[in-house]
Parts: sequence; C-alpha cells; structure tokens
Amino acid sequence: MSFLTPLYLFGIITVGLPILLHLVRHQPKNVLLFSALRFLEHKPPQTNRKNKIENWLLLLLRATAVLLLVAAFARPFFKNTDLELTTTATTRQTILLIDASSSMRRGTLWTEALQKAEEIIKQAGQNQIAVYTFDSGLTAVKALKEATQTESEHATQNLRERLTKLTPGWNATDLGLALTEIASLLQQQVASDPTGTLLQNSKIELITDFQAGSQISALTDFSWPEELKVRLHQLQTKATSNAGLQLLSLDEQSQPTVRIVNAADSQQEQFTVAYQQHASKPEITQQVYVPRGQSRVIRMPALEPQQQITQIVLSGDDHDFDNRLYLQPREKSNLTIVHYGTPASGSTETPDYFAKRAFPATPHREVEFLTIGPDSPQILIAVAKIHLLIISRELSADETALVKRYLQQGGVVLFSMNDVNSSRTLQPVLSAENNSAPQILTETVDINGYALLTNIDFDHPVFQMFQAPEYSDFTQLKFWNYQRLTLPENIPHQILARFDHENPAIVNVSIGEGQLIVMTFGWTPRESQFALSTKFVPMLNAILGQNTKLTAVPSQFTVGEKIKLPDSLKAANISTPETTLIQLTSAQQTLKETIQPGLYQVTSGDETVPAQKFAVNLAIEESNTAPLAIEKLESLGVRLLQPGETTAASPPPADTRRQALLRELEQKQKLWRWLILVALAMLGLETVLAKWITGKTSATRKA
Amino acid sequence: MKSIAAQKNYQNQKLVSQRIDPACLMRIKSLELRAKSVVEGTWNGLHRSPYHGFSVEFTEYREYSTGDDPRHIDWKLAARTNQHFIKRFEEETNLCCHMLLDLSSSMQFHSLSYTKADYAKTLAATFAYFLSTQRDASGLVIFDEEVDAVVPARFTRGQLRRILIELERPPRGSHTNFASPLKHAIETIKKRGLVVLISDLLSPLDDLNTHLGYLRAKGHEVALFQILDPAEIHLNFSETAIFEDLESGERIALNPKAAQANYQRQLNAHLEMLQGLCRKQGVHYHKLTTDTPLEVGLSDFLTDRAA
Repeated sequence: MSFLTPLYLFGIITVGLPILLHLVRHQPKNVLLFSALRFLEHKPPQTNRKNKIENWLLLLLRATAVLLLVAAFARPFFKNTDLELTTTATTRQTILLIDASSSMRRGTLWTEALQKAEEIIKQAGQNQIAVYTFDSGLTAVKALKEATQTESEHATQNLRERLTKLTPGWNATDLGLALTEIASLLQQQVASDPTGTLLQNSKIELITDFQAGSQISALTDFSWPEELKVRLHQLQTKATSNAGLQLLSLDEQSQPTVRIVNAADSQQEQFTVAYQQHASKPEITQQVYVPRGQSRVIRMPALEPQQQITQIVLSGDDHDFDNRLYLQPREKSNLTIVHYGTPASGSTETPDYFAKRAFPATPHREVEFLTIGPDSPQILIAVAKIHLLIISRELSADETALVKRYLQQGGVVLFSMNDVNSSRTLQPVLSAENNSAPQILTETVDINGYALLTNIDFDHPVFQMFQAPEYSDFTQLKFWNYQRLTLPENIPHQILARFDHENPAIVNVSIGEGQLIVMTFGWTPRESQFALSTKFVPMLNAILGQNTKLTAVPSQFTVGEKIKLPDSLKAANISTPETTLIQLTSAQQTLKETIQPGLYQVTSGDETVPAQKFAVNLAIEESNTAPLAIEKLESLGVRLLQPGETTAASPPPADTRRQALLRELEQKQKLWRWLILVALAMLGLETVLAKWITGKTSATRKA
Repeated sequence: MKSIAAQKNYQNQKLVSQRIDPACLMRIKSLELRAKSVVEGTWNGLHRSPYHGFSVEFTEYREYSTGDDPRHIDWKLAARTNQHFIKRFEEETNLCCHMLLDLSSSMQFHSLSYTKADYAKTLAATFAYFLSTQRDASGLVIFDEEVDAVVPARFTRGQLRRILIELERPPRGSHTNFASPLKHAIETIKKRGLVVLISDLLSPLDDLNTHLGYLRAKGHEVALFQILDPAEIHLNFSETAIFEDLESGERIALNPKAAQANYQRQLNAHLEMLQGLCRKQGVHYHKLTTDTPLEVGLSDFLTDRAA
C-alpha cells in the first residue's frame, strides 16, 4: 500500500491527544474576587488528576478513529502492476483560432489569415492541431477531440482543404467568449485525462484583425490558466479609413435617425450618406463630418411611401462591408371591423356611435368600420378579411351562420348583451358548437342603484394593460343594468370579470380557433358609464388585438439575432437577401438564419395573412476597426507570448507524470472514503460506550 | 435574667422582621432616600420600641464637669438629687459625631446584589440623616490606605448634602490602613464626641489598639461597626476556583469546601481578638452582615449615642 500525500502521516502524533487529555490536570478556570484571602490557607485544591487509564476500550476506540482519519488524509492506494509508468514522448497541441467576423472582409485580410494559418500548420509538424473560427460564437473546423488522433499527411491535407473553404461571416466579434471557451475546453481535457497533454504544452495561435470593436468582457469573469499561452497574429490593412452606419430609429413618418461611427485610425473624416434603391444611383445625398474615433447622429429626410427606398449608403471610406444600412419601414395594415348593430345616425343612444369612434386610424393602420343594421343589405366582404366582429343586436339565421363560420376560422367576436333581444342571439351562436343545444339562461337583473366590476382577471390580454395600480381602478365605472348569463358547464369559458362578485360581466368563450368575448352589459350611457370611461377605447382595441393575424414582428434586427415568428406564420417561407428560400416547418417558431444583412420576407401559405418584412443589419461594433490595445487583453489575465518566445520547451519531468498517474490511481480506488466511514463508526461506538459506562457508574454511586 | 435576655432577643427578632430588607433598600438609587427610609422607619418604631428611654430627650442633661458654664446647671434637679447636671437647650447641638468610613478595595466584595461598601455608605448616610434631624453635628472621613475625603463635623444647613455627595463619589480602591484616619481623627477632633468607624476590619489589627486607646484617652466615645458579607463569614462557595485578593491581587487556587473549617477558625480568632481589643479600650463593637436590616445598625448607633 502507498500513500499519495504521505506527509499527512505525521498526524499520527495526534493519537497521543486523547491520552494526554485523559491524563491532563484540570486547573480551575473561574476566578473569584475575595476580600479575606489572608485567612485562607494556601492549600492547592484537590484536582481530578488521573494517573492511570480507566477505560482502555474507550481509549483504544478514540485512538483508532484518529489513526483512521490520519490514514484517510494521507490518501492510501494499492499499486497496480498494470499501470506501470511508461515514458511516452510529450505531445504538444496547437489551437488555431481564426477570426471570421465581418470586419475580416476588409481588403486582403482573409487571404492573409488563411496564409498565416497555413504557415502555422506547416510549422507545427508533428504537433496536434485543432482549428476553430470565431465571430459572435465559436465554430469548430477541426475540434480538439479530433486533434488528439495522430497526425498523418492525409489528415493535414484534409485540414488544408477545409481551411480554403472557409469564408468570413457577417457576425460581430466576441473575442472574449472565444478565448474563454477554448481555455475551458482545454481545462476540461486536462481534467478528464491527467496523463494526456498538459496545459503548458498547449498554445493558442490567434489570427485576428484585433479590432477595437471586439467584445472581451467575457474574460473579466474568467480566471485565465497561468500555463496557457496565446500567440497573437494581428492582421492589418494598409488602408485604415473605415466608417459604419447604425439605424437608431425609424419613426412613424418613416424618417430614419442614423449614427455614423468613424474608426479611431481613419484617415478620412468627411463622408457622404444617401438613400439608395436596389441597384440604382444614390439619391438625396448628405455630407457628414465625423472626426476620427467619434460618432455623429443625423436625421435623414422623411421617406415617401411610394419611394421604395430600401437602403442608406455611406461612401468616403476605404472599406464598404459596413457601408450599407437596410431599412424596412413598418407597413400600414388595413383593418376591417364589422358591427351588427343599429346604425348610429348621430345619436348617442346607440352602441354603434361609440364603437365607430373606438377604432381611429393611425399611421400604421387604416380602419374600415362597417355597420350592418337589421334592414341593411347583405355585406359583400369575405369572412377571412374581417378582423373584428361586434354584435349588439338580434341576428338573423343567415347572420348567425356567418358569425359561426367566422369564429370557426379563428375570428374574434365581441358580443354585447345590451338588451333582452340581443341576448337571445347568444343561444344559437353557441348551440351550433354543441349539438345537445345547452340551455343558456339570460335574464335582466334588477339592480338596486348600480353594479360595479369586480374579480377582474388582469392576466388576460384584454385587461393586461390595466394591470398597473394607477390604471386598475374600475370602481368609477357604474352599470345601471345588465343581463344575468348562466353558461352550462360543457361550454368551456373563462370569466374575465364579475358584477359585485356574483354574476359574470365579461366572459371569454373559445370556439374553434376563434374567440367570443361576451359582455353582459351595454355600453351606451343608458346602460352604463363604460363607453364614456377611459377604459372603453383601450379595451376594445385590446379585443381587436386578440386577432392573431395582426401580431406584427419588429422590423429591424442585427445579424445573428433570433427572430420569433407570430403564431399565424406557421409553416412559413422566408425569402433571404440571396433570394434563396428557407422553409420553416410548422413546429419551428424561431428563425436563426439571419446570417447576413439584407431584407427578409416571411410569407405563409395563407393568403389572408400579410407577409412580414424585416431588415437585418450589421452590428455597429464591427465598424470600429481601429486596433485594440494589447494591454487590454493582458490586463484581463490572458498570457500572451512575446514574438520569438516559445512555450515550455523542456518535457515535463518524469516526477510530474508519475504524480499524475498516482493521483489517477488513487482517485479510482478512493480508499479514503472507506477509512472515514470506519472512523465515524468508531466514534459512534465510542459515544455509545461512554454513555453506557457513565450510566453504569452513576447507578453504582446511587446504590 | 436569662428569660429577659431571651425576651429582648425575641423582640429584636420581631423588630428585624418588621424592618426593611436591605436588598430592597439598596435598589433605591438615591442615598438620601435610603437613609430617610431607614431613619423614619426607626423613628416611627421608636414610640413602641424598648429603646424609647434612650432617645434624644434624655441627653438634654449632662453631668457637670469642670469648665462648664455654671449658668447651665439645673439647680432644681441638683436640689432633688444632690448632683449637678447641666441643662441643655433643645436648639443646641449636643453631639458631634465623626464617621470614619473605610472604602478600600476589600469593601467592594459582595455575594449579594450589593457590595459591603454600598451597605457601609447607606449606614453612614443613615447616621448622618438621623443626626441632621436631631440637629446634631456630623462629620465624615473617607479613607482607604490614606485619608481620601474629609467633611469636618458641624451642624449647618448643607452639611447632610455635603456628606451625601462625598459618600456618592466612586471608590478609588486600594489597601486598608486604619492608622491614617485614626491619626487624622486624633489630630483634628478637638471637641469630644462620638467617633464611628465603619469598616470590614479584616486587615491586620497592628496599630488599631494604640489609636483607639488615644481616641478614648481624648474622651471620645468610639463605636466600631464591622461590616461583613455573609459569604465572608461562612465561606459558602461551592466550586473550586482561583481566589484573588481584592486588595493585594494575590491568587490562590482553592477548594472552598476543604478550606472552610480552617478559614472559619482563623476568622473567628481574628474577630475574637478584635472584640477583646474593643472591650479593653471601652469601644462599642457591632458586627453587621450585609443582609442585616440597617435599622439594627441605627439602633446600635442610638445606644452608643446615649451611652
């Protein structure tokens, strides 16, 4: 048997501790102040010194427990003949980390990077080589696991081929993330295989333009391993002038606000910014002066809707990879709202008067409000084009069928039970769903004074906007009369609000894919204060927003951002700037393919759902192409190799390897666990025995 | 005779039971209020107490001695008794009491909630308060190893207040030395009066005999109040501990139970020696433990004053 940390065996001395404690003379500790000490004889008190050991068994148990603990700390293990030490040659690892961010598109940077990589592979010779590229994430070209296999001529050739196929992407640079991930991978490798390559035999060859826009913040939280060294191969272009564009906002009048960023090492300070249609000449040019290392914000002239302008172009610098800004103004939507009610004709007595005014047109929407009275002619509009249906009168059989069809297709219907007649329509609308024709009871409630809304479900989208305490007060809203609605159990429904904790006030019934929102009251001043309250317009618009076809995605993204598509765009086709089509399956809801800047369009098979367009632009950090100070990287703990310096030349001493082997052997056997367990058992036994002995002695004394 | 002594003892016991528990008394923060409580309790009790005859009225007459003004002789009494007594006026101060209070470190010992020094201070305050109500002059000397504070004896309006202020100041604490205060008393007190020494009297009694002799020779009445803590008498500590002397700082490890018998023997020898010394010098000796009601001390004082 051997010990991994034999120095701990000196702890055997502590075996004497229980014996010493057993025999020690107990001096009194408490000090008593006394006034008449001169009458006291200086006679030492009788202390409980024990010159002989009374309980041999207890002492033995304690000593054994201490011995076992000492042995456990010394980490014992059995030597195995199979694991005889072999003297293998040390393996060295080279990890090639190539920057593939969009700033590498400048000039001949990429070709230089590949040449450099080639050179390093040649120099590496027999060393193991792993190749990774990085931009905002880390991508393996040849992973560390593959690298551990022996290098053959064929493998090197294969690697070279793989390298030539690489191209820089459009993503931003996260140098910190790439370095920390590589370092973590190496640390894992060392931890999992202690006999393998040591960390000091690995080095990272970093090929990058080392631009100031690189993110290195990930390194602040990371403790860089002492032994791991990085050799920086900084690539530079001769022409250093570079400026970039960033869209700050695109307001409702489609007037863009743009920031122009000039790199710190630029030669140029005067730039031209202009609108541009697809391939035509730039229009409406504007001169901008941006001092080097600074940025300027300008407001471009407003875009006319018919102009079809899609890009803002910057000129005047040396590199044009970041000179194009894609614009996607929000498109105006046309909404159709149909109201089955008595036409208003200027009278505030009818629900129509208020409903019509609740949906004003905005820069982003055009609203067509159709009121269909009992005597009006049949509408000539496709059901699919209606965005909201409001019912406030009794419907005919044809109209009921249309409403049911609309609901089945995923429409949103707002039903106001403003009188007994209109309430009667609810029965046929709901009964179609259930053939059993459930009994829906409605009756006018006799109210003493007024009723108030209570038990409001603020988590429901209709009430969500009133969640904040300053808006959640509904006690100012009085209802003079309403209908009591009793829905049978078999109709799945959700009560969004009640009157005075009792009768339902607003009920949400899901029918097919559609939503039926029933208000058991009317909103005209004759029935309630609802239409005149501040809650009316937001709530009706929130109900309109329930229509899934209307959910719009934001129209501006940066490269690499994930886009969540609305539910209505399931099984969508996406046209990319390269005019290739991406097919999304119905289960897919996020789009990860925003790999290059440009305009994207998402269409679904459903014609009624409008196509979603959005623009993807470069991250502005990529335009900051001035070189980063090397000191910044060093201050974050990264060990950089000076030119000419090499990694630890001498092979690790045989002792180190031997130690690593022994450590591994000990870790496999883990004998210390058993020793600690036995020691604990000994201590437990000792406690029980001591208690038993004390009990026995006191019993004898009593007797 | 024995039955009279037993009866007296019983009455004393009864009185003690009626008196204020010193532990309660010591909780009163104001020294003056403490003194007042004791004095008024005793005063009210005097009307039915066996000490009635020794109250201040009887000391209005004093035997004539050479040097006294013959104008003050009560001739009617002289005619009746054929002895000369001097008649004192009520307004006149007839007693001059000097209190010598020991506040050395050993007085800081306590096994109850208050120290011997607290008890002694209250006792001194009680005497001073009583004397002030009687319009008698009182003075105070506080000492440890030397004289620490002196309030000369007189009867003025602020005298009680001055004494109380001196009593309330914190003790400095060091060894006890009886020589210096007694010497001070011998040198400064010209008028005959009552000298009251309040101390634990646990230090060696080397010069005490000589100095008490001097005081007595000068015609002073001397009363000695020995204040002891109950624990000092019985040494009833249960645990083995290191005992540290309050005055010298000397330390010894001791099992009190084992040392108890020997301690009591030595202490009793000391006390007997002290009592013998007092007897010899005609000094009134009173032993008060700190759990004794203060009224007992006051009664003792009254007895001495009357003597």
